[in-house]
Amino acid sequence: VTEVEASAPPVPRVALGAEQQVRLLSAALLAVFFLVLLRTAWLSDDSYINFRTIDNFLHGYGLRWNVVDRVEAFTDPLWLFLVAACVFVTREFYYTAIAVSVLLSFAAAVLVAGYIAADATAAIVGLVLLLGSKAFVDFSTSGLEGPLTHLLLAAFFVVYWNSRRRDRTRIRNLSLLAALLILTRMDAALLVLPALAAAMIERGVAQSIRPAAWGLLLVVAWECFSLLYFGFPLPNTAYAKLGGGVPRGDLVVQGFIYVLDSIALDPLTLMTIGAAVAATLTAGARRDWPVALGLIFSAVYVVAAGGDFMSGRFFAAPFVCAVILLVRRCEWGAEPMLAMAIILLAVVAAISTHESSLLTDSRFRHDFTDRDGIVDERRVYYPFTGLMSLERRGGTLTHPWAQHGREVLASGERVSAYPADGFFGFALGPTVYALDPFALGDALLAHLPAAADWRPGHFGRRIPEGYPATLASGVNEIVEPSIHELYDRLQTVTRGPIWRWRRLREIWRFNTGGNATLIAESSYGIRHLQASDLARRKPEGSSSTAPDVVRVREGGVAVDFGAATHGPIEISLDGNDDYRIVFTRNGRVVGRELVRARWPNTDGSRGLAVYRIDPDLAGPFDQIGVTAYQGAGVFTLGHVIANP
Amino acid sequence: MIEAPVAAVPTVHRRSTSSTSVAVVLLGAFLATVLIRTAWVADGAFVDLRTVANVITGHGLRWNVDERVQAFSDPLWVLLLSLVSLLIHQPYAVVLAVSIFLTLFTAAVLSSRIAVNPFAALIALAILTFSRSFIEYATAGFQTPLVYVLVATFWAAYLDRSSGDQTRRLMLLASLCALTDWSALLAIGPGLVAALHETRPRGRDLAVAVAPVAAWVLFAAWYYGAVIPPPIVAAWHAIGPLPAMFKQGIAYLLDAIDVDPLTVAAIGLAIIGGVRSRELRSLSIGLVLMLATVVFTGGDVMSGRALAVPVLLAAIAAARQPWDRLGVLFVPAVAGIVALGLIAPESPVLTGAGYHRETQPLSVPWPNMASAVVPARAAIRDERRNWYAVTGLLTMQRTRAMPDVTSMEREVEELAGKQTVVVDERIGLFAYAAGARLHIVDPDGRTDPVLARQSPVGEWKPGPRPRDLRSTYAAAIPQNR
Repeated sequence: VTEVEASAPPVPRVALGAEQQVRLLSAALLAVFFLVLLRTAWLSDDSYINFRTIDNFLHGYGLRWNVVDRVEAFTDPLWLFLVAACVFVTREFYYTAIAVSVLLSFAAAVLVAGYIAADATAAIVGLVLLLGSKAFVDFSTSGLEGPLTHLLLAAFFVVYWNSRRRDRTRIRNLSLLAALLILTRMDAALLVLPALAAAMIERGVAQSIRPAAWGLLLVVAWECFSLLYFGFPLPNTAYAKLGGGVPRGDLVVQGFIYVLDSIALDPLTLMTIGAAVAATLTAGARRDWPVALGLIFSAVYVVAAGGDFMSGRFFAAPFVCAVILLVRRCEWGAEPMLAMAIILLAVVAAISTHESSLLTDSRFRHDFTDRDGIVDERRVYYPFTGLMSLERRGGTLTHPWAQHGREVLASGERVSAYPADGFFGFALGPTVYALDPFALGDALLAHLPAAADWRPGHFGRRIPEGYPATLASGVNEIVEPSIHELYDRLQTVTRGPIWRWRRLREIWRFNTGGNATLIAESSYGIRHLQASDLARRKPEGSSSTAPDVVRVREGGVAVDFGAATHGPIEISLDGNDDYRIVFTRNGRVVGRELVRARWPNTDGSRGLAVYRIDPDLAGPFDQIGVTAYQGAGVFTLGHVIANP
Repeated sequence: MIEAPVAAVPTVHRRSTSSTSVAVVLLGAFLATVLIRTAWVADGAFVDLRTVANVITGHGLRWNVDERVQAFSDPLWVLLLSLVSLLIHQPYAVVLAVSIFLTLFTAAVLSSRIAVNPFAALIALAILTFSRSFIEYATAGFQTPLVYVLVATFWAAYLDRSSGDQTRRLMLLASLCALTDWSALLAIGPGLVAALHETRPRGRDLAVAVAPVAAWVLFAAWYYGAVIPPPIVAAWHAIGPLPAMFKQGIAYLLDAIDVDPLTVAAIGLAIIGGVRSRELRSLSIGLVLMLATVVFTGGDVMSGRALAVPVLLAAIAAARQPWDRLGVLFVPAVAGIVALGLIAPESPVLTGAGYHRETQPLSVPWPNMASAVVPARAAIRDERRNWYAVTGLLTMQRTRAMPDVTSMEREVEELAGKQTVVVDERIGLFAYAAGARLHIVDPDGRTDPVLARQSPVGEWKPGPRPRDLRSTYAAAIPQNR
């Protein structure tokens, strides 16, 4: 084949049509893309978390979600400031956020098609891929930072490929764009840092450090502000979502489920990412490798972090990079037949699920299905916030959570705990303290371990006794002494005068793990018991709320057997929950066992279930750790007997 | 729009290497996506997985842990799964990962070593991606993906005349094929005969090629005391009258035309095209032999399973055609494949996590009328539809075990409390869930060396057939354990 290829005459690149006509077609596709953006435009509940902070900011309360606390309840400072600036002009949230999103997303598509694609046919291939991706289309609006991320990514790669390698301004521009990207979405750094590093190596590391410092300075400046103003370098949401003490293995499994969910609802997105990585690493130019590497880093991060609860959201930005890779390097105009075949297959892949965004209209609404807590978020909120929705009433929020917020406001309550933040918090306004059990806007809860029944992005916390009263009165009434002390210290950080030496000391302590012992000593830590305390056998079906039954809380229960022992154990556990048992010898893990509920999806009224566990251990054990894995809220342990 | 006339399009394009390779990679990625979306494990595949589970728990290559019986007819597949499962103690995950990997490897062999150019690779990959038979049995847990690899590698070696040790490689691959699926020898047999006709094998090459089969036969004779495993013996004793099997075989092909027209069309065209091509004649003969076997043995109980390997042969034949000569007609050719694939009822490309038994369209022709499906068609099951809700990869959740055998576990616990030996025809997932706790006697004889040798009772029907359980042997089992 190679020999035949070499001797073949050149083919004119006009088989699909004249270049001008192809350009016209790509312009028409851009117009279609704009229409699709309008047809699918919506705002998510989470976008209203930002809106509440913006509202408070524009009313002079500072960058705060609850006006009394300096808590960074947003992850996207640049997007927040952009929307805030626009809202400052328009004095309106709903249409402003949608307009900004549509314009930025359209600009991103123009950059990809007009400035990155190798030719007009490649631009068409790129636009078809963008249009077909549910993740990209859904998060091209949504009120979240997606559109700005996509635009900055496209701009970064325009500079990366289109500017000369020796250009003195190239590294500075790349570094500034990378910094802006980090300030928009921190984990997007994984997508561009390998390319930035490659560009610096190309130019010479020594000559690149100074221009690269521009971007670094921008990030450092924000981090300094964040540390001084909020008391923490990362957003509170990061502590709430990543610091709940959930085992890494569970997050990885959930991350794998997130990948499967994306393949189920949106096959084109991951297929394109996979193809871009494979094509680049097998036959791509070396200059493209850092981009493929960035895609791999990003995929690993998404899986390791357990994905997200919004289906496809974390794959939207990597998808943009993948499309950029595929259209940049291929002169599809030279192979119009292949381009048409690929377009055909992309369309089939895009519409092969009934969830495709292209196939939805104004009647798009919730179908109450989810996968391990991952939901088609646009489907959930479109009836209430969709631009084309038949049920939306102007910019007024009609969602039941917003309605509940208005009722709370009218009732005169000072503090309201409610497991929803966005619409509810926005409707509350600045006068009511929104106590968020998922800890996104609450610094105390964010620093406590999460309960076992979590879903991605929703790591619920047990609210300490006396905490709501504390928030209402302003006086620390938390009952548990160590949590009482923890809150005292935290108040110094989030409410105390900014430039006090004591506050800086507390900031240091919080950020260096100095408060870990307070949590370990509390009911959120591990409860240590002797095996003899749990030796009284409970028959199957006995009450799981009896006085001698032990509650398994966030830290779990450690049962000490006193001496090394072999063999099976008999254990009674609340029969409608799953538990993890870790066998240790002198603190070293010798085995694990996951105990599945005997009566899953029941209300717990069937009581304790007795299990005989004969695990495959690496040796004898002297202690077992029992932790809740997942279930229906209350987790209990009845008895444990070794070698029954 | 199209300025250059069709005739002016040259035979061979001067290609942009990156766009052609990217196009093939994109279609490969699409195939991977479809495989993941449709991945499942059939109930019958858990027969092998029970043996694999016993291997990783140290009980040896046994189905019931207390007796040495070879309950599988695909030793290479069972050994491969056992080997990987010893590293990753999750047979369900292992069987799906290995199946997907082997199928993608097959696609890579097809597009890089068999296809004459990227256009041919695209056509071949499109046939595989949109073929219901190929996709559904690429996972399913059966040995089919290993057969795919061996058959594709065989034909890649056969068509590559430049290799010096071609004959030895072909014989070795045939040997491995025999250890995976005896019937798949039909797919490569004519090619092997043709190659041996051209080049007489050396004795040393023959010894190397026969070594894997000889090693297994010796092991089976020593360990199990039998060379032919019970599943094959049971099937042999269950053979029915030729007219009945022929009628059922025709029904099987009609079922395939109904539910998977692309596969049947691709096979038909490959047979016709292969006869006219010297290099593909052996492949064409192999296809005819496989189809004849399907028809004369009554097909299979699983819709499309018997056509999974034939459609791979058809894709191999398609990959040898110079599709770039079609010029502008190349796109309609791809569109035709896509359309033929998508008109299959619930094409795998279009099914997702919600695919399950209840989605089956009503087979009642008129309101208030009982189902009128003829027995021959009723005997052919849409197996993925039956089991996807239980074993489909997309149904996986963090909060439940996979496969979810909670209810079966309960039943096993109750049974194990009363007896250790049960007679039960559920030798798939139920037996897998029972693990070493129960000794299961299959009334159809597939896992039992004594019952396998008995003649079945009742009229012939495709698939397993029950034996007379009133025999002394079956009645004596519970007392003897």
